[in-house]
Amino acid sequence: MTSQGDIGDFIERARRRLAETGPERLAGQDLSERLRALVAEIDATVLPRNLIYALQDGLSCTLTVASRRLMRISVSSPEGHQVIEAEPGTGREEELLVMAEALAGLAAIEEPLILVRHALAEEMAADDVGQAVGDLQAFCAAHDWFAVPPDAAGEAGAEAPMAASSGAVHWCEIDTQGVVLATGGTPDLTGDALVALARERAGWPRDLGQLAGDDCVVLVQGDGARAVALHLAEGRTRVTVGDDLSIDAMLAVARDGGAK
Amino acid sequence: MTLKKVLHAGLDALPECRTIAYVDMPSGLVLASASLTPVRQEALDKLAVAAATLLESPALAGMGCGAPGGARPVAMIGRGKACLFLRALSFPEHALCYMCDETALGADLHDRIARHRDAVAAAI
Repeated sequence: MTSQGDIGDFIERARRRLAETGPERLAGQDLSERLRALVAEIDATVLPRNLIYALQDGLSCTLTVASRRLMRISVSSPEGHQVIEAEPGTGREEELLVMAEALAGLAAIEEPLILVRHALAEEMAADDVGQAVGDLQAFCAAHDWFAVPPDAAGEAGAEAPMAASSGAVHWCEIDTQGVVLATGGTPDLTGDALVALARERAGWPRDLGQLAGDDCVVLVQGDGARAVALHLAEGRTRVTVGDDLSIDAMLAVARDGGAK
Repeated sequence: MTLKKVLHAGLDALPECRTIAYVDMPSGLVLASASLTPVRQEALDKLAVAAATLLESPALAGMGCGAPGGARPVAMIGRGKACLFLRALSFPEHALCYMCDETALGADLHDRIARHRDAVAAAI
């Protein structure tokens, strides 16, 4: 049976450990680095969690994350609590914009943000799907919010292109006729090119993707930094065009949302 | 070195790859293959069809990355597995196909695959 002495020892050891390591803080020297760190934290969160970023004056911002999806952003202060959300009745594009802007606003805070993680106390609503980390990544990349600072550009250029994780990315989802169903950014592909792709794909072997297994993505890369990924879903294709992105980043954008 | 030997040598040089096949795209024939474990002919035939489908795709060629499988392999990437397709150097209607783990993908693997393609061209 645990005694008060044992509990006291446990708390004292925890305090000493925290004093040695310090609280966890949001990493990054500038806005783009901190924004990357925020998105990476969302990407790494599978179990339902509240990620609480706290300032020193009692202000905190909570990211509610589950299954690598940002479900909600809220701000707390001594004066009260407010959820940051789009106007009722607006579409998912507007919801994505509001969430991405809120993340960017959090990343823009220059003073240290202490991170505390808590398991969610409440159940998420069944129809609450939030925003997938791939959509957030694509949005930020499309708006150059992940732009590599000029002084790091030389180091990024020295890496193999597929190791770089910066760059713009745009995607569109087309049906079997080449009609655009959804977009993220503006891929520089003409309507004719998309129709030609849809028609050609209709003639591809139905089991083409089975060689590689589930959630198949066809990735084409040229000599330069440009890459195109096709997520082969039933009845639709997500076409992702990336510039100087890593393979993992291309796959994340190509898959997230394409198989919904 | 024979074609079959250079494909087997490729398995040594590319430990991430489980199967390497050399195919004739117009006919869909697998001309030679090497594999760490036995592979059914049906699977090899599908590899040949996939190579032809992707490397000969006009739509993919029109995506702004140049001819597919020229400079860099076209990759078909699933959960855990990947197939890479490159056009052969000596005979452009032939293709090299590499089956590997998804986690192996990267610039280093692609560079070694390119060197293996050079070795295949020298062997034919």
